[in-house]
Amino acid sequence: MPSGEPPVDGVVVVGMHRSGTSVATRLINLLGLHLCPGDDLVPLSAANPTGHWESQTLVDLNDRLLASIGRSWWCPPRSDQPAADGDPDHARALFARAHAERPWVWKDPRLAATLPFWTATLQQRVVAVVPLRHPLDVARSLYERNAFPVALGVALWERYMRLALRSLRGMAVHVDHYDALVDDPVAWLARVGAFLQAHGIVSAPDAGVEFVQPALRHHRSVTELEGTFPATAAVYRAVVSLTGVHDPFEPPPLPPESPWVEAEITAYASTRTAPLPRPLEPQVSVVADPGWAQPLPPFCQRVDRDRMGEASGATLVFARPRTRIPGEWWAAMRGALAGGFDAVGPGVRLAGGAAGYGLVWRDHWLNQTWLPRPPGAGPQAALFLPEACFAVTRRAFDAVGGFDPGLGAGGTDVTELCLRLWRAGYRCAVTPDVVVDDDGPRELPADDDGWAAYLEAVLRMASIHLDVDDLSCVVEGVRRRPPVPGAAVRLLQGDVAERRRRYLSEEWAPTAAVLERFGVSIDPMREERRLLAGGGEPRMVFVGGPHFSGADIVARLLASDPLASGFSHSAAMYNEGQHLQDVYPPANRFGGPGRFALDPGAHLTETSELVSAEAARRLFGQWSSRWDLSRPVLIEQSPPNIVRTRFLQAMFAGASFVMVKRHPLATALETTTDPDAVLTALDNWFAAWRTFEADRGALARCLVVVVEDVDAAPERVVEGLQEFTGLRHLEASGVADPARPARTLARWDEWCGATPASYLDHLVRRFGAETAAHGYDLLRPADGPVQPAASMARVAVPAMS
Amino acid sequence: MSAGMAGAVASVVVVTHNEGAMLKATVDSFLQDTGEPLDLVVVDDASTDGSTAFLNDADYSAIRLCRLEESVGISAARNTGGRMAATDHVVFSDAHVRVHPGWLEPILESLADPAVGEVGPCVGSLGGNAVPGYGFTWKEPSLKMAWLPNPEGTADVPFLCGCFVAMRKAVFDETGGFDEGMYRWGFEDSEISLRLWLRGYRVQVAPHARIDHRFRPHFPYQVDWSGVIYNGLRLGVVHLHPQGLEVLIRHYADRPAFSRAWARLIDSDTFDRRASETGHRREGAESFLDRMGIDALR
Repeated sequence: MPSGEPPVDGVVVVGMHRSGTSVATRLINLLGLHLCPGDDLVPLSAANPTGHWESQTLVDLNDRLLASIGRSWWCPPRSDQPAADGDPDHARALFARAHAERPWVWKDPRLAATLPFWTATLQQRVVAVVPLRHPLDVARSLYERNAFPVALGVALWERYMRLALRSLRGMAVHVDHYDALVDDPVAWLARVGAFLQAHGIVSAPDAGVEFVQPALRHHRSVTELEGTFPATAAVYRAVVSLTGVHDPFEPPPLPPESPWVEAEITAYASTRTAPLPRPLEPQVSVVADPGWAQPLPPFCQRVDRDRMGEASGATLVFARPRTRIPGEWWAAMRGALAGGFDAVGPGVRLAGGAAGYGLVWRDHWLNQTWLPRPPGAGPQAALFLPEACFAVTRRAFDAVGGFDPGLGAGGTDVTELCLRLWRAGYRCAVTPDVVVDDDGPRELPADDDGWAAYLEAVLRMASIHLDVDDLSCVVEGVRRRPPVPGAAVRLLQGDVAERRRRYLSEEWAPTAAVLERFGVSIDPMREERRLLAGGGEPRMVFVGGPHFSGADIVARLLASDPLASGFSHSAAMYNEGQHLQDVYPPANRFGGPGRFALDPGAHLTETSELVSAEAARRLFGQWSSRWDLSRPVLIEQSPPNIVRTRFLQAMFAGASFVMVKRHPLATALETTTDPDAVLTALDNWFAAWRTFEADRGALARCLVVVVEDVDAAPERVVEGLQEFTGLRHLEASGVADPARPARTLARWDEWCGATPASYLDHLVRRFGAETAAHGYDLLRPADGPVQPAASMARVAVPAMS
Repeated sequence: MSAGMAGAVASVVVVTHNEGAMLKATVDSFLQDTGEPLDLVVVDDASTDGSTAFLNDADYSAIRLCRLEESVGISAARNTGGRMAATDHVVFSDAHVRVHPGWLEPILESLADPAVGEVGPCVGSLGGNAVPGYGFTWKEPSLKMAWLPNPEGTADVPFLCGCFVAMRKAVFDETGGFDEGMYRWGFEDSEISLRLWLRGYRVQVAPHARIDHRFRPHFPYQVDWSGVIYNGLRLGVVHLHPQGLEVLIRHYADRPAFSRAWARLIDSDTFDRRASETGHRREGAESFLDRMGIDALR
C-alpha cells in the first residue's frame, strides 16, 4: 500500500464452493478482522463442521442478485451475461448491518459473480483473498455434499473461477492454494497477514490454527484432470500460476469456455425445481393497464397504470395491454440496466411482421420507423424504445420527471420520455436477444379526434424539444391540417414553453446533439439548406424575359421548392417585383410590354447611378416582406430583368439569372394583334434578347429556359433548373400546359387570316434570319423550336456554387 | 427656428430609420406648426442614410438626438425616446408625418382625463388622397387595420395607429410602453391599445387634432414576414381568449412564414409576458371585443 493511504475497509474471500473459503475466512478472522454478528452466521452443517463463517443475510441477498438475472449459486451466469444487479440502497443497508465494524472479512462464493455489484455499491476499499483448489477435489466434495455429478462440479469450478478472475480485475488480490493452507496453516496465515499488513491492516492472531484439520482435505488428485477435462485443466494451470500477490490484479488470458460447461450447468438447472428466492421487497414494478394479466417472476410487483404512485420497485416496467413478456426478458432487461443503461426495451415482433429493435424519427412529421436488429449480442443503444414494453430505472424515471401527462397518443409519451432521458444524460437500449410479440395493432388514431390528439402530441413534442429550425420544419408539415389551430391554442395555453425553458435551463444536451448521435435528421433538407445557405446571405434568382414569355411560370416553378421563396398574393401584376419597389424604374416607364427594350434608358448595368449598397438594402427591404426569409433561395421575376441583369448583379453579388424565351411571334401576339404593334413587339423581343446576349458575358450565372420545352418536356426543364439552382424539390406537376400550343396556334391562325400575306412576307424578310438564329421558325409559332438549338440543353449552365 | 424644453407641455418622440428627407420635413412640421414649445426627441434607429445630419445645425440645437448603434426595432426605439421624455405627456410620432396647426391642444385635453390612457389624432394621407382615419378596428382575422370614420368629437376607439399616439408619461412608465419583445414592425400599435383597454384605460381619438402620414407602398427597411406573424401571435397569446387566438392561428397557419413564426414564439418570452399581463388585467379580451363590436375573431 502506498504510504499515506488509509487502511482498507475489509477483505473479501472469493472462490469456488468447497475450496476452503470458509477456513480461510476463519483464519483471517483470527487475524483480527470482523465477521458478521454471530446470530447472522450461517449455521454449522455436517458438510462444514467447523463453520461457514458467512452472513446469512448477505447470502440471501446474493441469491436474489443471481435470481435477478435468472441464475443461482448452482447455475452461475455465463461470463458474457450482464452483471447481476439490485437496489444499491437496500444492499448498502443490509451490508452495514452485517459488517458494522471495520476491518471486516466477508466470504461468500457467490461473490465470484456478484462482486462487481458490491464493489460499485459499497464504494469501500477492499482487498481479496482467493483460496484455490483443484477442480476434481471440489467436484468430489460437491458430489459428497450435494450429489452433484462430477462433471457438473468441474463445470461449476471452471465457471466460478472465470467469473472470479473477471470480478477481481483491478483489486489487490492474494491467491493461495487450499492445499498449502491445510499443509501449513501457520505459513499461510503469515503470508496472508503480510498481504493485509501491506494494505494497512495490522494482524493480531488471537488463537491457534488447530481447527484446521488435514483430514478435511477429502481428496487430492493431480493428473486425472488433464485427460478427462483438458480445457478445465488449462484454466486450472493458469490459475495456479497466479499464486501470490497481485496489485492490481489482471486476469490471465484464458481459452474460451467450452460449450459443455454451460450445457452441463443448464442441464442440471433444468432438473431443479426449487423456486427462486423471493425478494424481501419488490425490485421491479410492472405498470400496465388494469386488464393486463400475465404471470410475473416473484421479484415483480404488479401495479395498475392508474395507480402508478404505488409502484415501489427500483425498476419500472411498462407494458401495453396485449404485450406478452417472455421469461428470458427479465434477465436480459435486468442485465442491460446493470450494464450501464437506464432504460431498456426488447425487440418487438409486430403481428405477422418482422421484428423491430428500437425506433427513430424518420421524417419531419415525427413518424417513427423500426430499426433492424443491431449487430452483435447484448444491449445496444437505441433512441426510442417500444411502447409495447420497456423498463426504466426508478432513479432515471424520477430524475427526468416521469411521463409528460400532456402526451400519450400513438406512444408519444414513451418517445418523449426516451428523448428526455437521452437529453438528461441517461441511456436507452434494446436487448436484441429477446423479442416480444405485440399482437395488437399499433394504436394509430382511429378517428378525427384521435388524429387531432396525435397532431397535438407531435406539435407538443416538437415545441418542447426541437431547435427553431427543426421546429419550423415540423410545423411546416402540419400547419395546414384542420386540427392544428385548436391544438396550437391548447399548447400555447399550457406548459409547453415552461417545459422547453426548464429543459434548457437544466443544461441538458441539445436535442439536435441526441438526434445527430443516431443519425436522425428532422429536416429532410437540412443538408441542402446548409449548402444553399453556405454564404449566410440568401441566394437571389432573378427571372425575366419579354412580357408573355412565361417568366411567371418559371418563377412559380422555382418558388415551389420548399427551400425557395417567391412573391405570391401581392397586388402587383403577375407578382412582378418591379412593381413592388421604387428603387429602379419599372418597364412601363419605357413603354411597357412590347416596347420597353427599345428604349435605351431601360437598359441598366453596373454603371447605373442607381447602383449603391444603400439602394441594394432599400430594394431588398422593399421586397423582404414578400418573401419567407427563412428560405435560402429568393425568387424575383419581372420581364425587364432581361435588360437589367448586370444592374441586378451589381446590386446583389452572386445573383443568378434565369431568362425565359418563347417564340417571338407568339409573344408578340399575346401583347397585341395590331399589325404595326406586332412589328414593334417583335422589334422589342429581338432588342431584349440582343441586350441580354451582349450582357451575358458579364454575368456569373445565367440560364435560358425555353417555355415551349416546359410544355413539351417539363421533366427536362425541371432537371435543368434543379442543376442550375441546387433546388431539388421543384413541384413540376401542373406546370406544363398541353393546351398552350393549340391556343397559340389558334391565335396565330386568326391573326394570319386577318393579315395581308405581303405583310407576313415583310415580317419574314425582316425577322426570319434572326428568328432562326434563336432556333425558331417565324411562321410556325405554335410548334416551339424547330431544332433543339434554342433549348436549355445546349445553354452553358454554370451551377450555383 | 427654435425649440426647447423650457415651458414645454409635451415631449415628442420621433423614431427614424433611413427616412431620408422625410425626417427633416417631419421635425420642421413640429417646429413650425405647433403653437406650444415642445420637448423634441429624435431616436435614430441605426440609420445609414445620414438623414439625421441636419440636427447638427444650430437651428435644431434644442432637439435631443439619441443615436442607436444597432437597430432595435420600432417598439424599443419608441420606448427609448419615451424614457427620455422630460414632460408629463409623450407623443410618439413616425418620421414621415405633417402635423396640422392646433394638433396638440385636443390631445392634451383628452389626456387630462385620468381614465384615458392613449390618444390619437385624425390621420390623413400625406401625398395621397386616402380618406382620413380616426382610429381603427379589426374586421379580418388577419388583424389588418380598418380605419374608422369621423366620430365628430372625442370618442373611444379600439385601436390607434402607431404612426402618432400620445400618452401621459405616467401611463407610459406604468405600462412599460410598447412591447419590446415584438419583432421590428407589425401589430405593436394594436397591442398597446389593446393592453391599455384591458388594463382599464380608455383609448380615444381626438378628431380635431389632425396629422398627415405618408403611407408608403414599400418598407424602407427589411421586414421578415415571419416576424410580423410572430408579432400577431404574440399579441394573441398575451391578450386574446382561446377562441380568438384559434381564429388568428387558423388565419396565419395558411402562410408559409407561420412555421418560423411559431418557432420564434415558442422560443420567446411571450409566455412570461402573458403571465405578467394577466395580473394587470381588468377586463378579458372577449368582453372587450364584444363591447367594441369586433367580430373578426369569432
